[in-house]
Amino acid sequence: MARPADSLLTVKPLTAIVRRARASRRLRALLRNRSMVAGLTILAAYGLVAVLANEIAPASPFQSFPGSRLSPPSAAHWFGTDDFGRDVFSRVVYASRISITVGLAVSLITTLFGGFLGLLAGYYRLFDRIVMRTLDGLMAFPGILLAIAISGILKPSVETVVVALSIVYTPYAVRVLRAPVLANREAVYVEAARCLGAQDWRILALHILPNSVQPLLVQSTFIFSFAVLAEATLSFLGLGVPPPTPTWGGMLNDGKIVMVQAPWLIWGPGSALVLITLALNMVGDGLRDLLDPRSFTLQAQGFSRIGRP
Amino acid sequence: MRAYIIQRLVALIPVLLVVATVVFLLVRLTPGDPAAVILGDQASAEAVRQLRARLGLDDPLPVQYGRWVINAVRGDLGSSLFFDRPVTAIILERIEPTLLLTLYGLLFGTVLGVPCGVVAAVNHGRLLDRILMAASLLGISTPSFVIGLLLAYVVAVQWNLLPAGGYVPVRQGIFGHLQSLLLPSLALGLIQFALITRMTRTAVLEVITADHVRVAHGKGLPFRLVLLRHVLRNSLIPIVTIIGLSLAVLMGGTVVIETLFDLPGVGRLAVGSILRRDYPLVQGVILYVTFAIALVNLLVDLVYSWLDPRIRY
Repeated sequence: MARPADSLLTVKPLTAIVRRARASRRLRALLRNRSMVAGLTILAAYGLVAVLANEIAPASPFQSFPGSRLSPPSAAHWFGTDDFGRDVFSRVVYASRISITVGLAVSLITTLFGGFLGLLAGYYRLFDRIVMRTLDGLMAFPGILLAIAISGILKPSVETVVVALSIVYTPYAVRVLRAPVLANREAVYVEAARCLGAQDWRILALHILPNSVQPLLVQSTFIFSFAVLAEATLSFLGLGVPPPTPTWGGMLNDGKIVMVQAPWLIWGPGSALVLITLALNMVGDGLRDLLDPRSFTLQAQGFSRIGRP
Repeated sequence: MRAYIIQRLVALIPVLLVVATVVFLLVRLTPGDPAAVILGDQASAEAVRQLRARLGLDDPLPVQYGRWVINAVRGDLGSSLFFDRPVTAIILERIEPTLLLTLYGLLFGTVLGVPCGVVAAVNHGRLLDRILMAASLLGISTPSFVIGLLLAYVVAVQWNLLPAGGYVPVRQGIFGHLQSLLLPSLALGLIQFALITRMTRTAVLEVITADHVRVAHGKGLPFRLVLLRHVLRNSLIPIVTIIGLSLAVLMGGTVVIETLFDLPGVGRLAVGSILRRDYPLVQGVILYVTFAIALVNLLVDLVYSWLDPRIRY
């Protein structure tokens, strides 16, 4: 299987080798970052639980066991039962679906929409003025209050929560992409591309975006965690996903009332909520360490956590 | 300096106007008749019609808007539909708990967060740093109402040390007042503490490698003084920025904490008036919050120039 010698010397295999070497270096760096591996593992476990909720949960989240209202954790009910005699463990398992759906949807919508706005705002000055004035106004306002206002006005549902939180968190995605686009717009390679006659969309999509997108990727992980926390907060206040749909925030609200007799109603949903946010934060931090450190200024690092509810 | 402050305050007027307009439209264009909400389900159609006329809800939108803006400029934000009292008076009597809760939360976060961040940075990579970073990560990941629930359960219910809810105004004794706000402030401030610890650590690590720090070290200045005069002083700008920015987060947090601990503040008022569709009160509260945050931002900018004389206005 001897290949002709000249083909070994052509440029193409060389770039492939370099790419492969880079990829394996990244992979090794990823595996070295133990906290990120731990975070990813936890997230994968949550994903599995959400997908396989039917198989994992011993009971339906709505099924009532009339004989055992507010019973403490036991072999039959791992996290005990609530005021209506429902199995808390099953409800915690099913509630992961709501949290993950809301988190994923909000971080996807804000990343795509906010990224689009940020790209254009960073590139076109007039557009920038309009967009940034509006977003500064949105950001100056406590996000959770805005979300409460929007979901108080619309009909309570999962979709409403997603819409409200997407409006609240889009500015954070815009800001984080706009800043590097603003800097890259003046870069020599953009000037070179323009001299070669490249059109705006080509410069934006093929040159500026790949060089500016890294902070946005990290931010979308954090937005995921903000959205999970904010959904829980809204549901806790009774303004999020309406009962009887199980949500961690809603379960904590139910547990608050009977906290003295039945503290176990709080442990399950509370720790589920904290653990997933912890995992998301570990992944976000790990991702930032893994990517190009030059794209993360001191200020940007501080800003990335602002806006969490 | 004075000219700058005046300029900033004047620049606030269009912001408030925009916020007011957006809120006005948002609130008025949504379904739900406040007259029907106030009178309840049993009200006759005639009673609802009369109330609508009395509240001026039958006028065209631009007329309602114009009337509202003119009154707002005069300092009259209208009357609450639910309480049937002036909005300004209602907000004013609820400011105290919110203001003090925010202040204590901020104080707790800053007073504890900055030293912890410095300690973590100085011990960079060692066990103490790791413990502090893990603790602050946990703090960032825990929503304030979960911390509040835990504190209420352990300290108030189990140990019976502090009240689990309710507010004691300052007038009725400072000791009881502090007792009533201790748990809420802790719940609110813990996130602040986590954020500020991390920011301080990052900022200090950035400054500590600078040349002027090495010089100070090299000329034999005690480490404590190098840290205080040369490192911390230069790290303060990003720290103050974070404190200023996180204030919006903190004010959002008061909404949840006030509801949880049953404090009669602006945050709980906001939630209640949104649920009751009390338009004038919603508008008033939102204007108040916007104004408060803008004032804090101005304050932060002024602190900048005090911290770093190179910044002039």
